[in-house]
Amino acid sequence: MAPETQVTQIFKRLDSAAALELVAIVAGATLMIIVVQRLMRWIGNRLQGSKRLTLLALVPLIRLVIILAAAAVIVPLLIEPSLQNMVALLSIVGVALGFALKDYASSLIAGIVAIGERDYRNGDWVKLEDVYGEVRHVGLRTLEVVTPDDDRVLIPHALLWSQAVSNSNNGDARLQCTADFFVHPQHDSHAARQALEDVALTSPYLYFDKPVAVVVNEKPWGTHYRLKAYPVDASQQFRFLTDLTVRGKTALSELGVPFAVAPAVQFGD
Amino acid sequence: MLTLEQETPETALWEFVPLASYGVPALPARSAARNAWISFKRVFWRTDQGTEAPIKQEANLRALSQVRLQHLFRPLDWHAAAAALDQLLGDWWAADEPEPPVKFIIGQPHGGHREIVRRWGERRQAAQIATPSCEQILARDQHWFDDGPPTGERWVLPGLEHCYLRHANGLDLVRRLFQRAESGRLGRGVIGCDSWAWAYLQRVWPVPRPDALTLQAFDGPRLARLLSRLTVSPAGGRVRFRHAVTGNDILIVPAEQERFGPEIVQLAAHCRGNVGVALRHWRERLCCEPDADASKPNGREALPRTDEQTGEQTGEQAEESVWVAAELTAPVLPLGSEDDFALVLHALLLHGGLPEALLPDLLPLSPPLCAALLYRLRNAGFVEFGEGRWHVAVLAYAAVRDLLRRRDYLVDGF
Repeated sequence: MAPETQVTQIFKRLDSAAALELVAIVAGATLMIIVVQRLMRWIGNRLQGSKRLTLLALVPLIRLVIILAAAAVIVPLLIEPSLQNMVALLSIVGVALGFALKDYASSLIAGIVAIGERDYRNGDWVKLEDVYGEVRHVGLRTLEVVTPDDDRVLIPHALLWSQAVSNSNNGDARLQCTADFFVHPQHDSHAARQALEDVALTSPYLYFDKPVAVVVNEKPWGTHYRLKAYPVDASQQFRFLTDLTVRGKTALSELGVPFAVAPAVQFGD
Repeated sequence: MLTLEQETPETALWEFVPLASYGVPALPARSAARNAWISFKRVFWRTDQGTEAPIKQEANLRALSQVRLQHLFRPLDWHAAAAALDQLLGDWWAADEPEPPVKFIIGQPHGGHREIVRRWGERRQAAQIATPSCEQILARDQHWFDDGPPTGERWVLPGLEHCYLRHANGLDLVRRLFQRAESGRLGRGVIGCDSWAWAYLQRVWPVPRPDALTLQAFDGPRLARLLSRLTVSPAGGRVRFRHAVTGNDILIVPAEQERFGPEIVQLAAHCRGNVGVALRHWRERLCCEPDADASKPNGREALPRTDEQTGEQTGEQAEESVWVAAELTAPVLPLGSEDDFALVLHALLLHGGLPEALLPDLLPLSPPLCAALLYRLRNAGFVEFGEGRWHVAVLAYAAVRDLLRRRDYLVDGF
């Protein structure tokens, strides 16, 4: 039997009714995905905190379920679902993906893994390579991140295989912010630490159920203070950080703590 | 109609309990579902104040005038609350070396904690400590302690919420106050504090005070009893408070058997047992049929005796009907940055009100923006000005608390 005949045998002959059904399923699934995505994003943006993140995180999962369900209905329309046919079809698809669409397939599989493992979800603040931003959309092939500068960055999921993913809030509504202060080594450290703690405690953005901490590191050029605290909502992180920095500098200045100037010699970090 | 039980010591009108024993009045299931629907609508169909009328008044009814309200209600007597507090603190006050030396009385906004502590202090002839000025707080001016009563004299400090500012320089004085109070250096005294300031100060000075007292919640029966006592009925007659839509009796004063409608339970639950807020809502909901005299061409208001009086006569007993609007008044947040509105409202609550000039020092917002936000909130009915400070308006308090709780801001423990 000629190979052409074999391939023809795998696929069913499409009559107009089946073709119509096929189009209807594809259109229906696409419509459902669009509606679900828009609706859940609309609802999510009206909620706060963990409710918002939980809802947004469900979007890619629901989309995957719709795609798989549509595929499960479409495949029996196109081929005779026998073992022989399935093996033949999968072989063809495997060869095609392996040679022509290797990277695309890798991203698709990584996308399914990311959705399953929940490495990042909508609303998470992630850092991949040099890109830091809020996850707005977890597609099947790419991840859409919006940076603080309002840039939209599309990152292929395939990066998961080789790159570290830094997730700042990991599904939580809050993330830790760190304000850095570099001061001259000769000063009253107790007073400076207390002042910085009060700066955090008096920030209107502070979330009180998470700890406030001041970490002090002595460097060859001075003293490095890191004020760590959590804002009420992850979206407030930059306003929170600005507030901590501005008021922290004022508080240290009022204490007479001199700020460090550019280091003359730097031994690493 | 629900029936009031006989008053027992357990159900006394004014009762002070430890903070942990405060019981927020529960909402009936039907009302809870309705409130959930209203909250849902508020989240998903946000509209501007201009596009949504606050609450539609029942047709053909108008709100009671201030004059009529003054004749219909006696003012709330905080002396009774102070007497209840006195009963509880009497032994402690009389003891030679009581432990702890300082007691805290916590009250919700508009719940009258300052008046109660002040009156209790007068009753016990205790010196009253004035709160420091904002300048003193920010300057960490410890001379404030020198202005206090001499050593050994007993004292009250009615408004702890005005002794600190949420500012890097604004916590020092209140921390020293706590330190002196805990160590006994301040002698014996009673400190009144707003519940929001207390929630915040517990993070600044994390020493648990399970002995802190608060006024027990005014649930349905307690509130109905208070409303009955405050209502002034016409000589030899009675006042019927009737639902404006159904016409059902909500409260009759006086009545042989004291009974009240479920609307009072709903009101108590809506206000979370806050007596000041509940009374204001009750007064706002009262309305009457328009009086022909009130619309005379000269525009003069009718005399208090006849104003809004329906004049129903049943035999020899005069009976007056006062209608109670079906809906609770709730303002709608103006469109705009909800984040910034929340910051302003939260700051006002944490400090028990703030002067306008101080807001830019406490918030990361410019002075013009602070002023603009404040006046937009005022126009929407969220804040009001009084005693030199901007406060969250009484009628908006429940909505503001709900907004801040939903957004995960620090809220009070009530």
